[in-house]
Amino acid sequence: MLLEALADNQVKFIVVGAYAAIMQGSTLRTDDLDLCYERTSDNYKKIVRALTPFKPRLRDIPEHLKAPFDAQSLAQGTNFTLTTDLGNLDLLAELSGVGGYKEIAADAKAIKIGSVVCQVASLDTIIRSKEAADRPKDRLTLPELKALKLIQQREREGRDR
Amino acid sequence: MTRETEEALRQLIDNPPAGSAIAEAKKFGVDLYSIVENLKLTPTERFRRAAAETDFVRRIRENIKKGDS
Repeated sequence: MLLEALADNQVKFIVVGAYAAIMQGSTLRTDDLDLCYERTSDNYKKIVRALTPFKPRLRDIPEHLKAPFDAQSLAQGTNFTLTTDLGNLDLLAELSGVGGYKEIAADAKAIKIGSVVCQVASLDTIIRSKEAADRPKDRLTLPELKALKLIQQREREGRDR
Repeated sequence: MTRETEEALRQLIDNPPAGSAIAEAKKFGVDLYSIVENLKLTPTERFRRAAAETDFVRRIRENIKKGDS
């Protein structure tokens, strides 16, 4: 539903992180949906319009310190870890080792989820970002992601034969 | 995925080329057969399944929190 709301409002976003890998066959599990968004004032307004019905608020921040979720806040920050009525959502301006929306879009794939066609980060991009982030939880995912890439290649070859 | 492709992938997992990403992942303990099963699903099915699991875990956490308070 979040993806539909974002698409309905013509938000420019790319699914990144574990969900991007899952859409492509990974068995990774995650608590949140990670999206990279285009940093333009027009897109900030669209993001706010799309997400407001789901009551987005900053995650793990004391209630009295919470800033409003509006276009101005988006313009002033970069990465936002949110919770919504539909679950956790991370809005990211950039991915480590890859760059921002434009760089990720360069080899993103269009994948249909339900009625929505989403831009989804390529496995190469996900692998590069996990290698660059290099946190223990990122390192744990790399063997699977690299194997998935090879299995996908073989599967495609089988399909094309 | 055709049965032939699935069989070829299973053989690749059973006997991966030495030093390949598949061999490394196997050594690491990744269940590569689950990837083959996932590739039989559509992206929508993969997404919905993951979302349902995420939601299930979220509801359990909420219930634990409620129980603590």
